[in-house]
Amino acid sequence: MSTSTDNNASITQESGPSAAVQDIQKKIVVRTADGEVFNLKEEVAMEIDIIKTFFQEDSISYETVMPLPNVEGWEMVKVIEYCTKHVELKHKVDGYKERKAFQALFVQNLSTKSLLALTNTANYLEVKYLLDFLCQAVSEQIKNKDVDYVRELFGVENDFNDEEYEQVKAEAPWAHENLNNDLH
Amino acid sequence: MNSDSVFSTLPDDVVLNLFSKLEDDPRNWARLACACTKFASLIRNVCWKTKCRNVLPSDLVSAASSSEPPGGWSSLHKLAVCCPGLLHSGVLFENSDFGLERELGPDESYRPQSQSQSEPSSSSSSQIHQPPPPASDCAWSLYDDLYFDTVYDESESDAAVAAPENENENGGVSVGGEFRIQKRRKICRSMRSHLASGVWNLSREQGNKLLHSRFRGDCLYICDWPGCVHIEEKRNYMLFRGVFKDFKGSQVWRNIKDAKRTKVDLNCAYCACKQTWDLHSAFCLRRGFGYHDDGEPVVRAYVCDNGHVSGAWTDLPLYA
Repeated sequence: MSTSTDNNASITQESGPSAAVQDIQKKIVVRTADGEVFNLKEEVAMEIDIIKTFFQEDSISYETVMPLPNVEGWEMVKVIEYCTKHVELKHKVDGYKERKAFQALFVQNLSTKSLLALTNTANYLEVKYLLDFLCQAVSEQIKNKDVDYVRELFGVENDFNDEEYEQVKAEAPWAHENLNNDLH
Repeated sequence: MNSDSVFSTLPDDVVLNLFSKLEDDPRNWARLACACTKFASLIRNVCWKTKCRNVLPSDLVSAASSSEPPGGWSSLHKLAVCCPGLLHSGVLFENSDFGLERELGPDESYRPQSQSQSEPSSSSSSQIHQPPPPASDCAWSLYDDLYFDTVYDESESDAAVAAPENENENGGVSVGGEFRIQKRRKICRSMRSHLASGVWNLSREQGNKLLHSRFRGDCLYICDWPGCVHIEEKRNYMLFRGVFKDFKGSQVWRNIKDAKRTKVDLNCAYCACKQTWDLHSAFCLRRGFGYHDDGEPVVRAYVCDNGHVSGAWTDLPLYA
């Protein structure tokens, strides 16, 4: 029945110093919009610039729980997943294939709308490489889709008047052919 | 989470980041510009503008001025990537040869075209065949061009025929003559404007090759040879497009105005201009191109008020 206070004691029984280093590593705590609380490893948390700035700029104690009102729980999970992998691969010499495989899996079960929401979150949290990756992923999805699909995805209305719309469409009639709307 | 409100919270720089991933295929931006006025504004004022600045010669797109080129950034971008098609380059234009007749008087070697209502893709005099279905672009893959075959093998374009004017100043690019199309490229037969095959670039060098030497001072930028190739029944057309820098300040413009040329009813593929000037019959083109034996000019070109140029080269006739 060891509690968290016994952590150090139990660790010395483990093998090797690396495990000890890992568990002694500080944790940063954040709370997302839906009230969920996450404990991040310090090195992962520091990948997220908004968190890094929050704690470092004013030397705020790690005991403070940082609120993230613009982030949902599921998004935080994904961000942590990606940043953790990123940190892990930093230490690897040739992680290219592994990264690619991970990225493919990462987006696999996310709808395009979810991807877009996650993109917004990555931007808010200021994780540049994640933002870039997600923009790339979304662009792959919208490549051969027609105008209606794009509107629905981004949640925008057609606010052209008829004449304007005809004009902008006539600029490139060749752009509106051979499209597919699968993978909606 | 309310995903419907995603866009309202998605800041412009993120949207632009996304858009920038789609720059390689011009169709993407063209479609996005149709989604809403906000997207249209971003595409026009940022995407197309930046792309033009990065891809086109810097003296054409003077970075100093923030004002739009005539016809806007969409026109300039379109000029870089879009072939005018047989229609806008004047190949299908009925009256283009009548204009010549007015200028030069009747010519024994010239036979009137019998193109009439249906517009056959070539200037064959007796055949009238159905035009190809307008909506069908061939199954031509954009990425073939980008990743495999962006440069024509210029050594292949050494003239197999004697050219009246040998323009080999820049090493081997002659007017007319044979050229080999690499097999991986499929040729697009669309009559209206479409994405051009070949490299998407404009150069002044090419422009100088087109114009009469007295217009050397004018800055005309034309796409690289051979432009977008259209293989038609009677002959091949190398369709090109381009633009004058400061058209209204050019000698060509002065020439057209002084001679009080009239416009023809051929609209520009790149802007809203409904009429253009025939540069061939205005004697603005380099001398010596001549005609085929059915009266079709070897080179034709049309310019609009904004200085956008569309035209077509053909192979030189075997016996000049």
